[in-house]
Amino acid sequence: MTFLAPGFLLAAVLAAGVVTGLHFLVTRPPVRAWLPTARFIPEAAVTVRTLARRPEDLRLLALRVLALLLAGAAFARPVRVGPRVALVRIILADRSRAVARPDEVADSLRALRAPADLVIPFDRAPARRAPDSLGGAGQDPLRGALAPALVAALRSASAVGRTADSLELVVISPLLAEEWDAAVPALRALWPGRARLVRVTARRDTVPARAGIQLGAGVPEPLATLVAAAGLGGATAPLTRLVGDLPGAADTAWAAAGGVVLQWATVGAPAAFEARAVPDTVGAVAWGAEALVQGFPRPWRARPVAAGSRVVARWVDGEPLALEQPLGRGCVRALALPLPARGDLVLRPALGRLLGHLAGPCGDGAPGAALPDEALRQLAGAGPLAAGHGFPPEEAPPSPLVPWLLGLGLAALAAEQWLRHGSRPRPAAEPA
Amino acid sequence: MALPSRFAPALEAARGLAWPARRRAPLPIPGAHVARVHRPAAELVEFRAYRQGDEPGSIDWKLLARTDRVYVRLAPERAFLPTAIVLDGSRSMAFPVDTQAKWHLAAALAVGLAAIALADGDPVGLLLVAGGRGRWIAPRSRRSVLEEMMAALDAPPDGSAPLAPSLAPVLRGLARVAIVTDFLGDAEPLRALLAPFTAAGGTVQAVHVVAREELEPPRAAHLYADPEQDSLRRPFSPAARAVYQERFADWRQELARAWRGAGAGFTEAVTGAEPLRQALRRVTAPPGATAGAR
Repeated sequence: MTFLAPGFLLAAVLAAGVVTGLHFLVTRPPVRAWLPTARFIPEAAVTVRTLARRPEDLRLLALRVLALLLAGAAFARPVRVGPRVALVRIILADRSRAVARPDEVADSLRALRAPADLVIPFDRAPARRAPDSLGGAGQDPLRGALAPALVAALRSASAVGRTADSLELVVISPLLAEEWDAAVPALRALWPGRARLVRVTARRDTVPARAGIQLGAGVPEPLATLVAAAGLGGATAPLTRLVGDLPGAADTAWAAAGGVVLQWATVGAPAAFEARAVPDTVGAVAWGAEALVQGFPRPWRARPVAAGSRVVARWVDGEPLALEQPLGRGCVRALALPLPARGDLVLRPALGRLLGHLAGPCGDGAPGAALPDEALRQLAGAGPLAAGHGFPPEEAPPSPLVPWLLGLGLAALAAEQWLRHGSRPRPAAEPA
Repeated sequence: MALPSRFAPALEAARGLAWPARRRAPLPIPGAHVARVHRPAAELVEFRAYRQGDEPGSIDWKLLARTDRVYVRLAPERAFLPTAIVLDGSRSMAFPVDTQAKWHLAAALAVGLAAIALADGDPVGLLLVAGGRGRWIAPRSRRSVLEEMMAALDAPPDGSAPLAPSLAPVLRGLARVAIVTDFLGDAEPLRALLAPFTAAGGTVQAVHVVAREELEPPRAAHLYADPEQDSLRRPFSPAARAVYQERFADWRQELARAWRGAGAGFTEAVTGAEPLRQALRRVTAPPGATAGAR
């Protein structure tokens, strides 16, 4: 057990010492002596404060000291601390689409893990600290991200650092470049020790890439023209099914089978969008590193992005333009870009490239290349393991003993009051 | 009988001192003191007409030859002063408890005064009131009375008997009374008893014995009790010290004024304040002397 605020307990001990010292100051008749001229001494109470060798009122003293110590212990907030462990591993287990064989991750985990270790599965976001939740590893169409996993690892270290002498960060992952972003180095620098990297086999997409667009229900003529102009029509095994209305059952089946359903709304708001109270206009759209500069009316706006969805394209002011929602092995994309009834916009190559981007595979495509050696060295770090006390403690844990300690302290005070006022004063001892 | 060695300093301090009478002696007992009565004598003081019965030897024949008148020569008689030393031997005199300095000073003063009186040829006696009773040694001129007095003073002070009842029966025949006491007993009855004695021509010398610890009690808190009156207990604190000293001083001043006003000599003797010889000098000094009473 330890105390979150030990200063209060120290103050209580000091106060108890003062109270004990005061109990050595007793009021009793003074030393008696003869004085023939005593008649000239003014009359007064026959008691004086003197210093005793033994404290008086031991029961009162005990109750007062007990009340002070209980109050001090309550304010010091005692918390239970488990037995200290020499080493705790915080294991980041990759379960994103980059993992080729999930059982390889599980095998590595079983080989490393000790009973006191923590496992944090992660893909795009770290899962809660489920012990063996690697289900679905590798089937996640979304790419993994190291940054959120490192944040979770730092939080876990703050929680367990109080009971561990050393902490080791272990990353079981294919360690691909797509999992690295600009936040990773800064987050890694917050871990004050070396990390162990366990590399597993990265998934490679061996299935030939599908492309092309199949026109579905409700596709207006301008869109069909756009598809033909972009060279995306006529594929034998198209990846994407373009629809103008809300996706139907057939569309859902298409997406579940691994395809992409692209809803290009032309009349009503597309899925995941709602009508604006006041429509406005925007001067451009952006996707990836490209942009299309064109004045567009903007009658719709995106609803709050649901979990698992991602923004595929944006208006130039940052508002979502196209949202992708995973569905089965594929996904459904909704595009809120009204096409003008007239003009040659559909013939512009930029719009064709936008269509090609929106008709591409779900997610960001197949997993990319491995992390370069410099990034791996930065991630692994060097030097000793991180010390348990090297992490800022998390928020103070609850101290369930505080109400009990305060209650016992109040009971001791009540007993002291009763004993002080209920007992009769002892007669002053006659001096020898 | 060998003299107790503890009184040797008192006897040494009294050597050479005289204790002249404060008044003319009332009784024509031949002694060293000037008596009130004038008798025919060789030393001329005054003349008186011859009366039948006068000694022929006292007739001034030269005056007769010159004046044809018969006169006798008169000179004051020299008288002895039977003296009693009244010594308070009550428990209050045994203070401080560890040294009993008051008792030792009082006993030394009593022995010293007795020795001085004996040296002057005066009969001296002792009235020791101790242990609840009074022990009377009648005045005598022999040296042995001093030994007897010193032997009587061997007993420690005790009891709380008043002095006046023991003194009253023995006043008759005394010319001088010296009272050595702390006046914490029956000061008023004693003064009332001696008032007629003083009015009749007797000499009273009061010696007030005070312990230094009574004048300057320790500053520490104590519960003080009167040794002769155990029920009288007073707590003594530093705050009460000033009040005590003021009250005690006022009482001592009033005491001295009352005894002097009654015609007695009054001297205060503090333990350890001065040599014994100086204290004896002050007690035996004539009224108005530079070494006067405190």
